[in-house]
Amino acid sequence: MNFIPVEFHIGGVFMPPLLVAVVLGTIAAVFTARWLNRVRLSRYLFYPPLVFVAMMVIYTILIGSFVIPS
Amino acid sequence: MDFSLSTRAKEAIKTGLAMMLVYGIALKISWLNPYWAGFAVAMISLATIGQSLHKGLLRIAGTIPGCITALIILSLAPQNRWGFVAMTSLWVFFTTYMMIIDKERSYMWNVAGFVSLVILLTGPSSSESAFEHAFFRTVETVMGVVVYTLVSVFLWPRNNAGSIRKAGGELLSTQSALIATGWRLLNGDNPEKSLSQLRSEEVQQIGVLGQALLAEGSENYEVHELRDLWDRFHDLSGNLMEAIDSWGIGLADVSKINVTAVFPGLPVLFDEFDDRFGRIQEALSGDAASYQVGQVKLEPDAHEIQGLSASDVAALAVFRSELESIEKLTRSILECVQELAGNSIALKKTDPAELQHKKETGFVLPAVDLDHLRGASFVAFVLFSGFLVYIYVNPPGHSGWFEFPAIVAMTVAATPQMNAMVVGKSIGLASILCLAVYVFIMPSLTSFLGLGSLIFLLVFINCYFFTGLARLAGMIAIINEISVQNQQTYNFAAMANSLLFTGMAFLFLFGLSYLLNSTRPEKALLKLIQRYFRSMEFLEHSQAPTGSGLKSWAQRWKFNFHRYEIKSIPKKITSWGKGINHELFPDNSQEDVQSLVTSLQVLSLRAESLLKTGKGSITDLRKQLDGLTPDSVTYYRLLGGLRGFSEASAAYERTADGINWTQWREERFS
Repeated sequence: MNFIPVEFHIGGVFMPPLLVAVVLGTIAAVFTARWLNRVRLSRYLFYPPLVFVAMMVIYTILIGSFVIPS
Repeated sequence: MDFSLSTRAKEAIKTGLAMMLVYGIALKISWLNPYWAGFAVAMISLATIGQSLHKGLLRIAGTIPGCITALIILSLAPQNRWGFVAMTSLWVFFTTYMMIIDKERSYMWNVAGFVSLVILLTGPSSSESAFEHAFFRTVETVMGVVVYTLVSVFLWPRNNAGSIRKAGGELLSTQSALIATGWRLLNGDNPEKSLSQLRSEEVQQIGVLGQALLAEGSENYEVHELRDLWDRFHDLSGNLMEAIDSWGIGLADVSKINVTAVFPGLPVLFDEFDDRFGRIQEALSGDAASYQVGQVKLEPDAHEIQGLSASDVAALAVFRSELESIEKLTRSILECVQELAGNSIALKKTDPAELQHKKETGFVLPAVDLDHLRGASFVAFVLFSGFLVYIYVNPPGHSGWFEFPAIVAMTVAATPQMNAMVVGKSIGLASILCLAVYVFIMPSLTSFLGLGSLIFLLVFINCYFFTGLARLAGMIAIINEISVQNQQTYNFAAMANSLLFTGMAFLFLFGLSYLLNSTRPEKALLKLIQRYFRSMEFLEHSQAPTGSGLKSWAQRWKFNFHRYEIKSIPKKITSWGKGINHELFPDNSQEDVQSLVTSLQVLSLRAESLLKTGKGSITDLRKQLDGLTPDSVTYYRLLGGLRGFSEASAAYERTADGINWTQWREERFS
């Protein structure tokens, strides 16, 4: 596993790795929520908005730790 | 070749030209933040001179108190952050509440709220330029309004001349058709249009009349002088709409009775209605022919009444009382339009029945709308939370966290059904496009000729191709992202951070909007129905608010609050119902939701007319009925009211049985 900090830049403008991890984490959480809605598994959740935030945080930590280490 | 510009192109040219001119003036005389004048143009550019002038005046009227309040707050709490945020939150709470309840001056309160935040934004870091900011904000707003007004007066002017009379005529024509349709249904004939079709036209037309009153009243001196009479005409038309609705609902109760036999004067009464509506139309078109309006009485035939059951007699008592209300209102409208045609200003006449009602009930505090209160609290909370984010986290956007989320929250509070993410997407997309203009085009401009042409072009494209929310989002993005200053500098990082801040602020607002209501319209609808029946239960079983003293006064207020709830909730359900994605809930169609709302409206109308027949709760009225002799008028009115209420309850139950409630209750991600 590569733990060397990764730098992201568009046209020479550098972006913080955490920002990229948050964006990817949010996108992953949105897709997971859509899938849970489609298979009607979300009906077993007590409060989906809170679950969404939790998923966002989990994905961000996972992506930030293993995909884009900062 | 014959070439003429479309109205849309003309309007887009006018807005683009006005925008270019205000930037030119502000830059030429080195005024602070030229985009303030640009915002004034963007917000007041409406279809006609009157509408724009009215909105422009409201913007100026809101800017001045907004600036003054900001300076007062800054002078009272220059070094006290908690005092500063507490006072600001209170002001924003007040202006948002007023913005929601004062429909006529809603925009003024909105401006008063957000302008104070704009001026205060100079304060958290340094208050030395606060007065300068307040002064230039006011001056540039006035300049923006004046420039747009002049452009719209001299370039392809579009005014509202005659729009009140036209809107009034159309409304009264629909109301006449509603009465005629009811009469046809009573006679067993098939009408051309159904009552529900005509009713929805009527609701739209009364809205158009209200707008025409504001727009033409702002540009026409004659209308301004007769404003009291026109307002009375508008109020009476609204009351007539409610009376016709109530009468239309009760037609089913008397459909099996030969009403013409019971009331031999009915054909004469309906002929009189026809005649009155004809005369109203004549008077609205400027014909001042004087006419003495007579009163028509509807007397029952005692012989025919004898053969009917008590329940039918009760239904007829309600039918008669509703027709009498319509008769009284059409008479008042005819008198009102005759005065308008004669151009004589008369003071508002107070209905003796209205006076009697006031005397009976005494002073009662106005009922509070829970949703309005929650909306205003939400904005104050967003402001407070944004301030905390700014001072403790300080992410990109910095002091903007104190201002921007609260300004957007004011709009969300006014229309909670609006999806904040949809607005966010529109602004985000428009901002990205304008950022490209800022990066690739703006640095190559060297004179105002280039800048002015660019501003004109961007505004023209936005106004020509987009409408509504997308147009507004485009305007905000253009003004914010091209960021024209007197000393123009270019800073990509600042603009990229500003874009990031916009996204984060919308996410922040989306999260906090759960405090206001669920972002799922069907969940909001379920909550409203629960609230509706809690209020209905109170009105049915509570103790009657009689006597004097603090306890009784509080009881009266509580009673009125629940009456207000059952009256206002069906309208709110309609708004939320439109937001439901029916593809996700195939068992409940839009028509099902509409039927549910209609049955609740009928239930509210029936409960209201029942409560008007006597004092106390519905249970008290049932007890009163037991103590009355069956031959009195009050007995039949009360019986008719109770009968109507029971039937409306049963109708709601039948409609509710057809709804799949489990599907709506099921949890899912929004």
